[in-house]
Amino acid sequence: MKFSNEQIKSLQLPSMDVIEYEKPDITYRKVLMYSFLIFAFVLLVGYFVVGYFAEKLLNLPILMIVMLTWSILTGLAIIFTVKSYDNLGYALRDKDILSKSGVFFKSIVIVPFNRVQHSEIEQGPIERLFGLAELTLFTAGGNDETISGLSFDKAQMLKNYITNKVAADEEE
Amino acid sequence: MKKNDGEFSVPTRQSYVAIIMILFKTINIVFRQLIPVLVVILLGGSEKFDYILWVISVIALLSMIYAIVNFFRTYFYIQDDELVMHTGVFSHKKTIIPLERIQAVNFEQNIVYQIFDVLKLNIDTAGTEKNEFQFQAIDALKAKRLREIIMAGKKVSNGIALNTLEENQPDNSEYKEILSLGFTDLLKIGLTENHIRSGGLIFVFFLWIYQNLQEAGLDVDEYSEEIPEWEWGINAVVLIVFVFLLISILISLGRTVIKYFDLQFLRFDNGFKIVSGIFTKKEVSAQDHKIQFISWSDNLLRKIIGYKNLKLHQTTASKANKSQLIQIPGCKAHHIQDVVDTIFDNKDINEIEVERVSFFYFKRFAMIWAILMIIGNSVLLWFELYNQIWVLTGLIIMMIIGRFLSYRKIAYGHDGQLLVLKSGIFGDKNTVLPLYKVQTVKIYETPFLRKKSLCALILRTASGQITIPYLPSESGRNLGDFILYKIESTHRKWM
Repeated sequence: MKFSNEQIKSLQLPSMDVIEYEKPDITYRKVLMYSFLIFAFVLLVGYFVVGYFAEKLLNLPILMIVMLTWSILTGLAIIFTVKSYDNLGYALRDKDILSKSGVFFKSIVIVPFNRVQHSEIEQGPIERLFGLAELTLFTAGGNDETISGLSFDKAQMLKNYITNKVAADEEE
Repeated sequence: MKKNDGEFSVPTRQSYVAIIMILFKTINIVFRQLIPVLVVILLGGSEKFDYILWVISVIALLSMIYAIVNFFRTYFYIQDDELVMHTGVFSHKKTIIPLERIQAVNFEQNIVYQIFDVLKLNIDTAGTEKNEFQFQAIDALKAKRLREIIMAGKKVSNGIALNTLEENQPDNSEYKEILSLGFTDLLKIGLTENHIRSGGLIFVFFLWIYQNLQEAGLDVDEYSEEIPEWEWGINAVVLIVFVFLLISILISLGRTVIKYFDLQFLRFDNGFKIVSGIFTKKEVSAQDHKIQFISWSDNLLRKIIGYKNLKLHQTTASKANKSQLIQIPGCKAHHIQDVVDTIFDNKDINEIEVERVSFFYFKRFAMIWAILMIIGNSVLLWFELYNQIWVLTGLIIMMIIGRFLSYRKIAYGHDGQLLVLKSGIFGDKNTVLPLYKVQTVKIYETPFLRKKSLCALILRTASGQITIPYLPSESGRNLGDFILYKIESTHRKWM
């Protein structure tokens, strides 16, 4: 086999910075919000259940403070959720897929197709209600990357595209 | 390509025994979580005992429903050389694994399983820590047939015989010894362990025992009061530190001897192997292509005697990933050179130019901890705990100095094939990673890093991740782009 190893100037390489990211489905914002609201209400219900056993917790001044804190935190979390939606994005390239996330702590993860072991489409109960799904790409070593908020068809399409890419890579 | 003749091409469910297994497992898990709660409630007055019974019944009922739904929602079939599995009680989950990606199909069977003649089935794919998939119970015959088909599918698509998938290791005569540790080596290694760390572990351990005794109602302080008041002078402190150090050294020594007794580091045709152990001989081998990256390190004491600790990070299909790490203490520089030459085709690692990371790596850390120190000390001052102020200040200053030393060491670079990361505090650590072994690339930014146009570059491999912190945003992205180019343009397999 002839081996060649030409020098590559880094400027010629495709850059991860000049990528236009696609946004998740707009309904995913609702999914994020509802998921959080359910969580917040479960917390509240849990508090009342505990309060049933320890009646001190249901005294008026304490209850007021707890409710106030709960509302403020929930409100903040909802704002954060909306923000976090704005920062989500994914981009397909010929040989890899990019996924970005994070409001304060931002990250970009790039998964090359020829490292993908297999992929999975998953739908949570709330996501199913809105016809959304998430696609998880598994690579070796337990590094999996999830792209959330795709419409089910889109997820299926992406999965097929990636599966084909993986297969094509294998054949070469 | 062999077709599967319809077998398993229709959705197949688990054995009905699975319902019992799942039920048992769920109830088991739920109750283990609930035990503390139940104990607290039962001890704290049983007025509401009725409710507890109710709760238990509801949990049992829900578990039963869960088990049944789970059973009906779990099925698999084989389609176009892919194993398709449907799972999930509350959410649909469809897993597709190409047969050729399956590394192993493992069976598990305890007594209960034997009675019903069923098997628990685990399907492993390459390099993942957890099992990709597990069936609670499948008829033994069906399970064995499934394994045959999967393995046959593998054979056809890989074009190689099955037995070559297993590690076929050569006879003893083909092993070449790289290094073996004698008793004096072990003594030296044990004595030069990181005693501060073992000391810390012992300290935490005793603290834990002390707290547990106290919680159990034993008044430990009562006994200590019988001892006449100590003069907490310098002498006592020195004595305690000395005894502490002595115990630490003895413990590290013991651990080293047990762990590395009679260690042999061997080379065979296309891999490495270590044999060691005092009571049970442990053998671990790593084939070259399975090694993802290597690292070696020393500490202040080992630097003096020139010993390094070499680690070969390899990927495995097995669950017990950690035990597959090959670690060889007591390597001399030339041993390391040997290994590097063998794996990386005589590359000179020292010729790779390295760059330091941003000074903010130190400055930011120092700032944050200085602020925490001021806050902590103010609190202590408020409560008039003057002695503790010294301890806290000392600890934080030590941490900051440690970070500074680490800043002076940390550097990264690559030559187009290999990435080198240098780090360490008192000692030196070197990590060498072939670029094409990287699985995914991640760029990470905190608000602070973004403001200073810095970032962290995280390279995940099949055997753990390597982080380059505080590097200029542009360098990070360029390096990331380059590594991606390397991964995507080579067809060299990462294992």
